[in-house]
Amino acid sequence: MEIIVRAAAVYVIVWLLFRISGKRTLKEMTTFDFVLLLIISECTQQALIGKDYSVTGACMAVGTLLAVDIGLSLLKRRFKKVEKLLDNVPVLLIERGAVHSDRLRKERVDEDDILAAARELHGISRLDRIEYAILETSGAISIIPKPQPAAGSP
Amino acid sequence: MSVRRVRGIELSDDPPFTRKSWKVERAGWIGLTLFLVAGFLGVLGPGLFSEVRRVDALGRFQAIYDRFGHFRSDATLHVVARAEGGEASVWIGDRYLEDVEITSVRPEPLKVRAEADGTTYLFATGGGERSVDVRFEITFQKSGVVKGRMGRSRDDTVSIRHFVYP
Repeated sequence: MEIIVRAAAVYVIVWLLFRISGKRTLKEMTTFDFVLLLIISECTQQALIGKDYSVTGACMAVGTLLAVDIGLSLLKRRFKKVEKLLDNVPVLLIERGAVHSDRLRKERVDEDDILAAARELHGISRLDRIEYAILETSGAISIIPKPQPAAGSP
Repeated sequence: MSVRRVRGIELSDDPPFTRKSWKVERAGWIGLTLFLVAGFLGVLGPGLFSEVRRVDALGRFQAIYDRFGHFRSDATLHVVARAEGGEASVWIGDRYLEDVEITSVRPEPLKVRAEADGTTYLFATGGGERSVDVRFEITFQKSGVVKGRMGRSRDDTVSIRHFVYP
């Protein structure tokens, strides 16, 4: 019983912390971020199972985390507002070629991040060749290039 | 989520919600900072100002401990008791002992005596020392308010109170 409550509480707390840390926190994962993630999981481990080192205890904790996750995914499908609240919404960073600097600042993204995504996804090396840049809910940046003029056109 | 058509692309963005989301995010950062500051100051557990010192009326017994603790975590209860005739005693009430587990006592007591409403630890003082300095390593077995009494004897006590976070 206690493990179930602990696991559910840890799920909520971890969700809350990652929600306030913003979209870009874990997407730009460097080696250090990866190590940080491992340390975070180590910190939560004790709170999850306490001094119960049994296989049953571990199964209950994992089961609770998965059950909460599945339950929330069902809620998200049924109630779009819940989905918005839990996962946030995509943000347009470049709209019709115009850069929304305020949105970049608020989301802690800079033009270099957009250019990096543009290079990786489309081989684009200039900002003025991007029609739309979207910060997805996952923290990834999607790029839609400007349509290229047809070959031979003036 | 409603899908908005932004000249050629379909996107379920929501600028008003995003603006609210940024505000909540910033408020969350402030909350997180306050939480960490509170932790540093000792409001969430052992920290800068969490130490409490309780002294009995005649100044013959003092207990030093952290005001805040964590459930099933270790803490130290530091006691200084005046010795008489080469011996010093520390009495701890049952109410306190119901909520904490004493995992170790330094120095080793000469004798431990269970009584009707508490336990008395008897210590020998060597070399004519006037008081004994004892450290009880404890583990909180309950979350919430943990309180009790302790002193040189059951008639000469100070009250102890911790708040234990779950």
